[in-house]
Formats: sequence, structure tokens, C-alpha cells
Amino acid sequence: MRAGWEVVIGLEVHAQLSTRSKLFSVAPTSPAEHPNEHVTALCLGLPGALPRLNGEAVRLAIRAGLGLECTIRPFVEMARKSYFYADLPKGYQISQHDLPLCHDGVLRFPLDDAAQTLEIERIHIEEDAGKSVHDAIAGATVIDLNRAGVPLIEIVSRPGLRSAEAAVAAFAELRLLLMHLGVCDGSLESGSMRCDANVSVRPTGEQGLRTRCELKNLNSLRALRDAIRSEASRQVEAYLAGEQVEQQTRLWDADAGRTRAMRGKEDAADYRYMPDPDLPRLQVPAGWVDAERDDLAPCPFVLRTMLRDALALDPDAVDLLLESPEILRAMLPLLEKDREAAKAFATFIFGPVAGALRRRERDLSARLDALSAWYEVFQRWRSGALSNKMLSEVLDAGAASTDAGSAPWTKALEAAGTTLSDPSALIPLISGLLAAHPAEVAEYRSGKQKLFGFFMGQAMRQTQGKADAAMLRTLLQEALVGEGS
Amino acid sequence: MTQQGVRQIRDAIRDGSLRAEAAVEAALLRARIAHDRHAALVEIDEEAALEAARAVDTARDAGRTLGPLAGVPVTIKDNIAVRGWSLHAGSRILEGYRSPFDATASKRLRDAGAILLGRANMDEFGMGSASTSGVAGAVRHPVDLACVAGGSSGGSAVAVALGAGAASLGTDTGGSVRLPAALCGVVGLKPTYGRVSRYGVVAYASSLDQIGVLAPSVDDAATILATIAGPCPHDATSAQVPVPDWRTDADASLEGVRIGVPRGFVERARAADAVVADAFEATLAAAVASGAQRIEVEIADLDAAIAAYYVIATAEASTNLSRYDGVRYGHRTAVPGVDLAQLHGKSRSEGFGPEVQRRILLGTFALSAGYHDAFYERAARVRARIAATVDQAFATCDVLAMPTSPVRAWRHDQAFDDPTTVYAMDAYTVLANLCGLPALSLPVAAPAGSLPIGLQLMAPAFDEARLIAVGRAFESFGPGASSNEAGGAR
Repeated sequence: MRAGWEVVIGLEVHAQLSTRSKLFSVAPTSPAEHPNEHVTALCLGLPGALPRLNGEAVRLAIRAGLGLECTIRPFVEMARKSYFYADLPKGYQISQHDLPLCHDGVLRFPLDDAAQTLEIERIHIEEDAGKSVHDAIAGATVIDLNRAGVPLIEIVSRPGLRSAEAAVAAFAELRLLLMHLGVCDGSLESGSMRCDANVSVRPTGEQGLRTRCELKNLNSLRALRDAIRSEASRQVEAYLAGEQVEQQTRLWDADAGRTRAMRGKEDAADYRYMPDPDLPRLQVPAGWVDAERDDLAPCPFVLRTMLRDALALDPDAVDLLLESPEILRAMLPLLEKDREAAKAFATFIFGPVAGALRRRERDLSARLDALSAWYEVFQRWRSGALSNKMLSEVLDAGAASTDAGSAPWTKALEAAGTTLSDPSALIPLISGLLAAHPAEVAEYRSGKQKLFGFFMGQAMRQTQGKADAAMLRTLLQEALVGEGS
Repeated sequence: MTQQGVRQIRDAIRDGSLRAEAAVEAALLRARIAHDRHAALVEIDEEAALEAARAVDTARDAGRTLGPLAGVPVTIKDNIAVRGWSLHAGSRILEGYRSPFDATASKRLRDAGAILLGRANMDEFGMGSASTSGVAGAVRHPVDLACVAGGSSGGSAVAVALGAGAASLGTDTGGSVRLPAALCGVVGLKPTYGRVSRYGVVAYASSLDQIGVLAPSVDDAATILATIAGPCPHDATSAQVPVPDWRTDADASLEGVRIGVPRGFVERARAADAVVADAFEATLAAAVASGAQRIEVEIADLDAAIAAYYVIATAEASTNLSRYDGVRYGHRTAVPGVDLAQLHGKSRSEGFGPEVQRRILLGTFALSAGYHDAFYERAARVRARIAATVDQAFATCDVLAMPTSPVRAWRHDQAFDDPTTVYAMDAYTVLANLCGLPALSLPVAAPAGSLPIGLQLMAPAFDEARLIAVGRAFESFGPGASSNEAGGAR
């Protein structure tokens, strides 16, 4: 940023609510195999079709509102937002207008190890539009309405951010928060979360806001950061050249590294909002807000501090854990009982388990339903009942299975049996080993301590890797040292 | 013309004195006349109707239980979906469109054993008072082909008047069931808003639209209504109110019934058509002679009601009709090489008739930035005020009575240069829609040689029972009654 100028940023974030069915119809929200597969008469905008509001979407929106410390309005009023587009089947989007469900909240986020806040103006519920696919068929645009009617919340912040880095940090924290609340899966790749940024600049110290531009197509944290930087410079340069900044919607072009004007203020649509007469004002049922508040998961902002300060986990492990709310949630009871074990289990999941899955080209997050089995494997391994070699075999067998759930892992664990830790079996084996390698024994006893690894390796090989490493080590040391003294 | 009522046909089929197939054949004969001479029906589903009738006969022969409307032939306005049928709402924009699903009302009729004969003609999207704007042509009056049938459910009214089906489903946004009923001499019943599901109804103005019944008698209309009414999971505005058995209230007397007549309403009709005002007064006098009490009540300014109605209806219509964009179904422009905006624009300009375009433009304007508060918001406030005055009126009376229409059926060649003249025809009917109240139009005795005249009754929300009971009592002064107390020779 050029000296003497500051950038002012507000965010508008769309997040897909994790409901099973769409906002106003029974069509599923899950990914479809074919275009226009998950559609009902309403999704297609057929005459006579009517919307019914999905209560689960309202519940999740309330939860988001509570997570962002908003005031929750006691009723839901949906409005029609009219515009024409090929993938908008009804010719209007059902959204909320001047009475959003949640308003006046705050997002807490970390920036350079300091706690920052961003004021949230409103959160409203709305339906997604469909998708226009260009050039899938030569010379034609085709329409896929699988997404039409998928429930979203739009979170609008006040212009409270003063740098691209702060915007990125705020958005990243918002994403984690919605994931931890179970409101949204947080996937930027699949478009579950989309971010627009309102950007203006002003000389440092100037009160009041100058003309802003709305930046769209910011589908990664990096795009968000680069687009804001580029746009801020463009605006500063314009003012320095004596020009004015026009209110525009601008598209981020990552390849060119700059924003491009999409439409100006004069082209802004008049959405002609009106209350949707098909959806009478819905009173939020008594007790819903309290039930959500009681059930609210701890926010990542608090969890981060706990993991970092109380558990002294390294920052990478903290980030990984925060990315996996399910694992973290399952581990919280453990954390309270046995912090060391919890930390070790976290390392275990993000290390060996994730590695085994990766080698089989499977995703950790898709297999979280095996968490209890992993804990069992972890405990067996930690107690020494499972050797490292046995562990990797168990994990590979579990990861190789196409079946979900705990079953493949527990089966592999049973098949692996236990380590060889009985001294009466190990001592003869060690004696035989030492007798077979007199030269190495002599060398070791004369001070070549490195040879200890050689004996461990040989013993492990003879037991097919099933020897309890800790027990073997003790007995081997005794044997090597004992005979020499 | 001979007419057979819903319950007559149903009972005759049940007791075996009438075969359902014969009943449907008779209705189909009349349906062809309604189609060919009156343009009242746009399509007749003859084969399916006969097949369904034969199925009823087979079921009866086998001793199976028959549905409450088994074998009763009915017609359906062309803006209420019937699975597999075309659904055009009188508009070119829906050409080629067939509905893949049933409206709740259609489904309930069919499930009750009713035989769906065909689609009734209408004003395009229900926007009209004469049934002359539908793409299938102008509906002709059952008595005088040179005259209009009233609208927008004119096809339904004519079909019922001609006996092409024992009843018809219409829709009523500002009087579209009651007005043609009055002009054609049949009964038109618009229930309370929310009483009948709107699922499957081509929306015109969602906060005003309601399915209604056209039938030869109040009892017939009530019987059909009882079948289609009640909560529906597909419609968020469907009322969670149980449907009473309206037939148990059949034994009605006017003794002590307080009939509220809004001040100035009759005078307004007199200025337009003195015969209508006279017929209304004569009927009221007969009611008073039967023990009813006539009370003057105050209702908010009618002109304000019409203005509020047209702002709200057109605003809602402008968004409801946005889905007809030439993209997914219905008419798409044949003009080559158009971009998306032109595809929308040309398809809509070609597909919508002039009155529909006028109302879309009015509604779009009323919702526009800068005008929203002055029109839409203000209309909503006026609506609330009118509803309050009507509520107040019901504190002093049991039902409201007024002419259904200020005029009788007019000639097709009578030109109205100013659309607001036509809009004023709805003066008495829009009240019930603005307030969501049940209302009934029934024919009253008219002078010899006169075209039919209707009287409208209105009751508090969800009190169809009262409306039906009083309506049945009023029928005894009607044109079909043997005594002629109302004074109109017939």
C-alpha cells in the first residue's frame, strides 16, 4: 500500500448450509451424477409449483448467527428478488430483504497473534441459482439446475478491515467457524463458500468512506489477498492521477493479476424486492434459539488458544486439528482427561493414519467414521501390543478397504494379533543371535555401540516384525552388557 | 336447459338409477356444444372421461365402495394443473406445455371419483372480467351468444350453465369465480384464502388467488368445496383449519340473521344498471320478509379498494409471470440469432397478450426503486385498513350482501376505451380477496327477458358454514323458485 493511504474492506460471504434437501423443496443437495437430476417442479420453475421453507436451514442459519454473536430476529420473512437470467428458473430469487434473520454481530479472528474483530451487519437466508454451462455444446449455453434452490446464507460484514492480510485472516476464520458450527462444510474448491470483497481507499486519517468497488470471483484465500492488493493500488493510482473511482462490480482475473470492470452503478439491477406471498412470515419456534445456543460447539478462536497454549501443540498440528472439527470434537473429552494422550493421538491421526489413507488415494475427512477404531489401534500401538510394522500393516489393510466405518480397521487389528513380548520366548532367540554373531558381539563390547541397531534388526527379522520393540530392547541390552561384565 | 346437480348425479349413480357412463356421455354432448358454440371449453378429454366413468360402473357392479363424488363430471379451469393435460392459462406463452403433476384440488376431485371432462376457457392468466382475452378465443354467454360470459372463469360458468359437467373449478383473484357466475346465472363460491390449496394453480397474484367452485346450486358448490378444501403440505399458505361438514348446516332459516349492506354500494350499482339495483333490493326485501334484519354498515371507500387491489395484484403478477421467459418450456421466439436478453424480451412480447403485458408493466412500475413506497407499500396499508373496516362491520352483522356486479353481461361489440372502466366491474368482488374472506354469488330473480343478475354474500374468515346456510335460504327467492316474492317475473 502506498504510504499515506489506507484500504477499507468489507466482506460478503455466501456459505452453503449443510442441509440434506433444498431450501424450498425436497430435492437433495448432494452432488448429482447428471445435470438436472436433483430437481423438482419448483426447481424448474414450473407453473403451479410452490415453495415450503426448510426448517433445518433456518436452524443452521440461527446457529451461524449465534456463532457470530448476532441478534436473532424472532421471525423469518422471505422476499422475492427479481431479475432475469437463464439459470434463474422463477425469474426471481427467494431471499431476504430488509429483515434478515440475524443482524449486528461480530467475528473474532487472529491476526499476527493478536485478537481482532470484524463487525457483522447481517446474515440472511437465500436460495442459490442454477448454473449456465457455456460451450459444453458447441455454440450453445446449457442450464443445470441441480444447484437451483440449494440453501445459502449470505454474511455481510461492515467495512471494518484495513489490509488484504486482515481480510484473508477474517475470511479464513469465518470459514473455520462455520465448519465447527456444522453450518457449512467450508469447501472453497466445490464452491460451498464464496467471498466477495467491497474495497475502497482513502488517505490515512480521512474520515468517511470513499466510493467502493465490489470484487467478485475470489475463490481462494490467495485470490482474495491478491485482488484486494491490486484493486487498492488501482484506486490509489486513480486518485493520484486526479481521477475519480467509479462504483463498479469488478471481476478478479487471476491470470492477468488485475480486476476488470464487470458492470457500473448505472447498470445495477433494480431487484424490485417484495415479501414473497407464497411464504407467510414464519415465527421462529419457541426454544429454537435457546436449543441452538445450548448446543453451540466451541469456536475455533477459543480452541486454537487451548490447543496452542494449554497443549503446546505445534502450529501445524493446531491448524490440522482445526481443519477437522469432527476429530477435534471426538478428542475433546480425551483432551480433558489426558492431554498427553490426546496430543499423541492427534499426531497419530495426522501422521500414520492420514499417510496410510493417502497411499491408497483416500481422503482422511471421508473416513472419519472410523475414528473410534483408530483410537483402539492407537492405544494398542502405544501400549506396545502392536509393533510399528504391525501398525503399518493394520493401517494399510484398513485404508485399502472400500468399506466405510470402523469394521475394516477392527478386522485388521484382530488379524494382526499381538506382539511377541514374552521374555521366555525372546531370551532363547537373543542367545541364539549372539552365538551366531560372535565377531559383532565382540566389536559391540569393545565400544562400537552403533551395532545395537544391527542386533535389533536381526531379532525383528526373525520374529517377522512382531517382537515388542521395548521388551526386545531391554532384553538385548541385558544380554549384550551382562555377559561382558 | 335441464341441469343436474352434483348430489343428484352422485346419488343416482350410487342407487343404480344412473350409469356413470351415461351421465358422462350426457355431459360430453353438452361439452361439445360448450366447446363449439361458446368457446367455453378449450379441450375435452373424452376418452379418459368415459374410461373413468366405466371404471366407476365396474366398481359399483362389483359392490366396491364408491368415492364421495363417484361419476360426477366436472370441468377444470385451464389454470389448474391436471397431470398429463395441457396447462395454458389462456396464454400463448404456455403453448405446448403439459403439467407433469396434479393440482391438489384436481387430485382430490379425482380421488373422490369425480370425472374430469376437460379444460375451461378463461382470460389470459385470469386477468380480465369478460373471458375474451384467452388465446382460444372469447367465451360466449350461455343465453345470448352476442354477450360476454364475465371473467375470468367464464368458460367454467358457461360449462355449468349448459350442463357440461355438474360443476367446475375456477380461480378467483378479484372476483373471477363470482363475476362470471353472476353474469351466467349460476352459483360461484370463493372460499376463505387458505381454505383450498393453491398448489398446482398457475399463479396470478398469490396473496389473492383462491380456487373456487361454480355449480348450479349452493349445495352443489358446497359439496365440491368439501372435497377439495383442507390443509395441504405443498402450500405454505394453506390454512391448518379443519373442514366442517357443511351439509349438516343445510337446514337454514333467515330468522334473526343480520344482513349488512354497505352504504353507497347499491347506489353505485343503480348508477351503472338500475335493473341490477332493483333486483338486489327486491331480494333483500324478500329476505327481510322471511325474518332477516337489514343493517347499514360502513366499508372503506370502494375506489381505494380497487386501486389497492390493482397495485397489489399487478405487483405480484409481475414477479409470478417472470418464470415465463422462453428458456425451459412454453413459447420461445423463432427470431434467429438473439442474445439472452432478446430471447427473454421477444419470447415474452410474442407470448403475452396486451392486457397481461399492461399488468406486468404496471406491477413492475409499482415495485420499482423510488415508487415502491408510494404504490406497493401504500396499497398494502390500504388493504389492511379495508380489512379492519370489514372486520368492524362483522361486529354488527352476520353476513354482508351486495350486488356481485354493478352490471349484467354486456355485448362483445361494446368497446371500453379505458381499462379502468372494466377494472371498476370488480368493485364489489375485490373486497373479499383483499380481506381473504369467503364469498358467494348466487342468481336472483330478474325481470322477464333479462340476462341473469347475481347477489353476493360475504362472511367472516373460515365461516363458509354461515355463508352456505344463508346462501341456501336466499336460493328460495331465486330465479328457480316457484314463488316470486322478489318481484322479477320470469
